[in-house]
Amino acid sequence: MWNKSILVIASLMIFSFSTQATVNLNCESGNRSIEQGNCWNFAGIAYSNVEFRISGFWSLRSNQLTSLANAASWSKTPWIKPGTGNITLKTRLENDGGTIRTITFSYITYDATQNNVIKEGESTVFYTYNFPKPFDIWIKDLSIPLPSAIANANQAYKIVITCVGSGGTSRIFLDDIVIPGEYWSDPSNNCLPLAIIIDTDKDGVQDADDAYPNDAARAYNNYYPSDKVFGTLAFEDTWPGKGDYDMNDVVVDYKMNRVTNAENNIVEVVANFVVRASGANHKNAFGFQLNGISPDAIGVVKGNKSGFSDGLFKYKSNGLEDNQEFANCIVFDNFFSFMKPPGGGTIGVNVDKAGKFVPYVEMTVTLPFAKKISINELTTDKFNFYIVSDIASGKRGREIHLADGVPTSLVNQELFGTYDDRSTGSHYYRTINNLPWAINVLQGFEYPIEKVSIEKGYNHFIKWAESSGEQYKNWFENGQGFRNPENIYSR
Amino acid sequence: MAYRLIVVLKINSSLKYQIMKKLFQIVLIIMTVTLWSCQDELDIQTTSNGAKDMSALKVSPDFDWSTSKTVEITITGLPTLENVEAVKSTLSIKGQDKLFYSGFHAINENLTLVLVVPSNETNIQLKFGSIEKEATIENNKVSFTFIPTITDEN
Repeated sequence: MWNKSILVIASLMIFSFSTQATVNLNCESGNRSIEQGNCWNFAGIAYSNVEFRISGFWSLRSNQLTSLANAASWSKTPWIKPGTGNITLKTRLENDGGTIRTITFSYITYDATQNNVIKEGESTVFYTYNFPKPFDIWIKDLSIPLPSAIANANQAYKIVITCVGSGGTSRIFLDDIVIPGEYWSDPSNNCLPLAIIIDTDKDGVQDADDAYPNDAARAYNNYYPSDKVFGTLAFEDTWPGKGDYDMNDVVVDYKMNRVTNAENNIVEVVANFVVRASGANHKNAFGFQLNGISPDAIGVVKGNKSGFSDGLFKYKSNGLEDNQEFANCIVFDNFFSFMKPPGGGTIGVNVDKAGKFVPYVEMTVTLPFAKKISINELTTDKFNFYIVSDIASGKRGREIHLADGVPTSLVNQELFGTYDDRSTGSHYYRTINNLPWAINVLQGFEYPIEKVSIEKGYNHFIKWAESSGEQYKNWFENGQGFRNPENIYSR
Repeated sequence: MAYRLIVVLKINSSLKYQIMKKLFQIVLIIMTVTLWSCQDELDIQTTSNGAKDMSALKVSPDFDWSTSKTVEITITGLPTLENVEAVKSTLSIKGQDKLFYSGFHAINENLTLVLVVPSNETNIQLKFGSIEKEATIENNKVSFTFIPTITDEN
């Protein structure tokens, strides 16, 4: 019984000894930058793979030792929390010449009051090793006790190993450095000691960075086009026939937010829309497809306006459109159901300056994710916006996307290649001259008034398009000579 | 006086030939310079059909009609040392005053992001803890690395 107990205790002791943390340097990365990125520092000492290296392919090799100053040639550990025991390392001289060849070991305290980013305090030499004379080139194993002043201290220290000497040209090699202690540096924070972070929801993301510090399921907002602006989508609704290019048959601003958790998986897409105008005679719907995302990956959609199309759109139980290969959210299924034309002899909504302004309608549509999908699987180019034109016809298939926007499963394929459309299978929604039926202005856009083609409002639009977007990238801005205000709608 | 000049020209026909040759050379130089100065204008015209309105406009089939561009951002992680757990922190990707991406990232992981950004963005900024970097978008690509450029501390 006693023997068994002793065995268990011995095993535990061996286990605890063998699992003591160490900070190691064996140089085998062959690239000092990697160790430096991990908060080691070096001066006057390089990685070398010359024949005098000690083990493996690489060792530390000091400069020629012509100074007894401690600043000449050294390597410095990251901040560590020292353990107990001995620092071990291997060393050798490059040749047997010289007068003095010495390695000193010192520790540096952490001092938060220092007015610099590295916060190093006092340095204390705790061991000096003099190479025995006469010098030789044989490898020596050193074992240096950690000083009691820092052993097992619950504070951060750095250990500095310095090579000094005089006379001759030989250098000192170092390798297989093992220091008892726990790595305690933060390479992402100027290599300062690891700080205790405040993380209320315990998701791993510190509160200062967490957009949802009290919600472990959410951590970040990822906006498209960006956190600062709404983009504008402007559609012509006459496809497959060419329209009048006033680009105002449906005008919607958007800001898409992919809310992610600490694993960078999407928790939900929160889509903010500002519905602004429709200069259309048709009743149109607006929606978007998440290209490549299965409808089953989405929970119950909230915030969209559906049920105003006489049953034209069929929905799944989660609110996405039914019979689609990918997730399709119909944001609104009838523009004029919630933005009524003001009448009075004017056309449409907010496209005629003489007409009464109809307040813009803000919508927030939320698509919770029911399956684990990384943010890199739903990149922003996979938001595929479109309108469904002329829903009063009782047909779902007249779907109009941005140029080259992939149509959904429910498009009427028979319309491709008819009238002015020259979709080819890889290029969609383009005329023979490659003109589109919709544009997407990430920076936001003031649309033209009714029946005035866009180039009449924006003087550099044609040059932008002809140059494939190289010239006048800011054609939509209000720079001098950029716009003809009389042709652009304003409230 | 004029009579005397004609006489001289008649007498020296080789001189007349020389004058004509010079005149021809001057005209040739002027024409060359004139045509050369027009060359830029001609080049510009060949990149544009000079459409006045949408009905005459023709564009490249590759033009996407968007004021954006797709940028591939490649981040090379820092290999961590033996016995060291990779630190994780918030990785932010920004443009000009705009935040495009936020995520929780381990410093040793390589990452490729595809972002759609406004076409007038020229630079992308990366922030990871205290590490801040900026790089120019070239051919719709940007690269960052967490492996530092080696420096000797003095």
